[in-house]
Amino acid sequence: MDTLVARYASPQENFYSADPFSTDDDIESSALRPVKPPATHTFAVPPIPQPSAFLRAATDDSQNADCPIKLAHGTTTLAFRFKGGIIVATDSRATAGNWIASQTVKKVIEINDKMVGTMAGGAADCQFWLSYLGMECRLHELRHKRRITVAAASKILANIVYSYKGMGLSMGTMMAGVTPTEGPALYYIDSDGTRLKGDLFCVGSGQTFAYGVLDAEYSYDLEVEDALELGARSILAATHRDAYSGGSINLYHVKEEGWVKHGFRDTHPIFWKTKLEKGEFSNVSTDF
Amino acid sequence: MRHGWNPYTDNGGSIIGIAGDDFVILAGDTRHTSGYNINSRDERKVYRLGENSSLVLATVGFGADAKDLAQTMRRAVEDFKFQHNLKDMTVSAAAQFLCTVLYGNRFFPKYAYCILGGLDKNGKARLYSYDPVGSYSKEGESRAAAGAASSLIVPFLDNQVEFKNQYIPSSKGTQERPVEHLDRDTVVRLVKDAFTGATERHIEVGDGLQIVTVSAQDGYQEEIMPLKRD
Amino acid sequence: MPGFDFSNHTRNAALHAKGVPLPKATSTGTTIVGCIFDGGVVIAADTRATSGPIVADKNCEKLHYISPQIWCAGAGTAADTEFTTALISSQLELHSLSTGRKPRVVTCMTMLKQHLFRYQGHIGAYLVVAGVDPTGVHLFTVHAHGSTDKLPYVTMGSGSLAAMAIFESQWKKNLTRDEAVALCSEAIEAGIFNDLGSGSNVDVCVITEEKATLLRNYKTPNVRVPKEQSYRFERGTTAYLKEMVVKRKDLKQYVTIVDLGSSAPGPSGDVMELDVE
Repeated sequence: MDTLVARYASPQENFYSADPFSTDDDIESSALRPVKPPATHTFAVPPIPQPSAFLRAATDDSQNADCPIKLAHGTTTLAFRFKGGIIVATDSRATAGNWIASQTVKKVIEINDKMVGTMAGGAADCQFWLSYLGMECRLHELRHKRRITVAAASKILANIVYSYKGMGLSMGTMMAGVTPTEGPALYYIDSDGTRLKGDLFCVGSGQTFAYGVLDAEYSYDLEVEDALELGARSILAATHRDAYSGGSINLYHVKEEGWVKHGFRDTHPIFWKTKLEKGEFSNVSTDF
Repeated sequence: MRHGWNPYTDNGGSIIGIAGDDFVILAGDTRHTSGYNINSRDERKVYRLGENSSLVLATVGFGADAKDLAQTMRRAVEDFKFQHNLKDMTVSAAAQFLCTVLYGNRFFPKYAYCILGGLDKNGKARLYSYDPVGSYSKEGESRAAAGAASSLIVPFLDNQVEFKNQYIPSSKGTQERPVEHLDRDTVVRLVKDAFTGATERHIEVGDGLQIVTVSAQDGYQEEIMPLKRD
Repeated sequence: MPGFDFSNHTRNAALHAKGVPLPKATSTGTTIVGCIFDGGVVIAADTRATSGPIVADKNCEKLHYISPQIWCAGAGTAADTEFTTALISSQLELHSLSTGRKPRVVTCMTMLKQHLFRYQGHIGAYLVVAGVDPTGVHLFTVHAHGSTDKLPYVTMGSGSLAAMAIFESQWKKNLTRDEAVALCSEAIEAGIFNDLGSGSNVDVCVITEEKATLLRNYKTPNVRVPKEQSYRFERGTTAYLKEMVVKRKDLKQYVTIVDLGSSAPGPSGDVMELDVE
């Protein structure tokens, strides 16, 4: 993989500048002339034999806690299919090492008005590739005069990510959409190249806590309000126990007509409300 | 794994950005260091992009990468006008462009943390902050800080700009203090206090403070004030 | 002598190999200098203590008392300089009582170097030892591994190069007391402003045949400017779960109060002002 990418490692101004089909010699061929993204993407790569090892030493804080560049990571997302469509719920905390970089990150990325993707792992990786995917989905619509299926869209993303396998991308994303041909469809894609179709996924550092609540109460025949409440409660469980999850709960309901946003609500008052009204979280004491 | 080749140096320093309603203030100290040495006491980190645009970029981290990013953005904003019939590059377009530039170096990151500020077409303030590979929030922020003393400054801004952990006194801890836009003088005072505080406790921050204000009424203004030099 | 407890060493090494970062000891970063003049010796130091890039103490004391006319400036790990100088000061006082003579600077230097050498540099103390004894005026440096130098002017610490630049430009033989103090103070200021590990104020100690004079905060070129606004919070701004108010008359339930009476000398310490009702 390193040698494959090294073939393209010539100094380039930016991602969109390389146009392998350009024959222009005049001044207008500047690096910033708007060109369509070429068939081959070009990224700057360090001019050494093992660029992926360099990236790991410089940025990977699981291997090397003292790395100089801390990248923003996002965690705890879930999505499940049920008779009313798909519920997607996430927290909103981004961490860079042990520092909380943001408490207000949008981890549900709206690919188009019928399909959403979630962000877990590297924030920039998910943001960039999901919005790139949105562009590819629109092109598909224009070429084929038909909305793209979730299966096809997820395959495009999985293939892109697989071509960078070993280079250090970190993504655990889910794609949810409802199309006439598939019905509600949910796919999990990660940076190893895994692509799985399923009914229920939790992704991120807090996934195990979310699974605990979600697996216990999940049923395909849930009503919409109950399903929304279940999604929110699962994220709350994860933010309570996982240090790298927190902030607000972001809820989406994806239906045939499109997705509907059900709020970006701060966990702090929701936690106390759940404790006082339902008597849950009894391990948290208010007496001392 | 020990690497023999290290293309990065941490040149210290800190930057801050606060957005009001119709003005945005970006500031940065002017100290440039490597290890325990001072390279310069007056190396600016806040750049104006384009002569008449409202765009301002502050960058900090590895000085060479930070400066290079600023040059790239400056060129992009200027070229935009030539390519789009003298229209100015909007703040949201510049924000997305910077994200793409940063991600283009995903496998050889620019060791620089950026804060971009400006006014949108309605004259409202917009502020965006980035991680080294381009992650940013499209909706923007009300406050941002980056660099050596960011962990000292951000909690102060959380409390004084977003009023976190402040409750209305008579409500006995049930009603949070409502968030409202700050006026310009208050923001300037907060910026100065944030930096004098950071200078006291962080060895890589000091020498001078460069404060840049962009507002709908008064346009671009820059103020330099001294900070402790020890 | 009973030494250090090394029982955590293996555990710490194993944890570090797994990636757990070692705790950062507070280091004094530091600029310290010493300079002999006609009639005595002057030592000076800055007052910044750092923990990594953070200033832990803006006004710490780096000039340590060893004996009435022997003082020591310390750079390196703060705890190490503190404890090593206190230990040798104690040993030197006992030695002085045993010999019946005033303590000598060479004795202090020898005790320090023998102690530090035994720990092979693991005790991170870098010291400037200066004093006046019946044999004369002396100035030494002692390094963590146990080496020493005897010189007319010395600098140590991360700001030593900046300070030495001043000495090498302006030092001459037979300085007067005031000239020496001014020179040392200027050398420390060079460290304060040009070295990030040093900062804040200048402490000076002048030792002559007669006595030693500690000039704490001799120069304060880094006073903080007043803040732009007050950050006082109105009472009730912070939310709390539970409130417990203990009145002075109920204090007995929580604290045992023993009346020693006026006859016994009793311990005297800081007086605490309880809330007045």
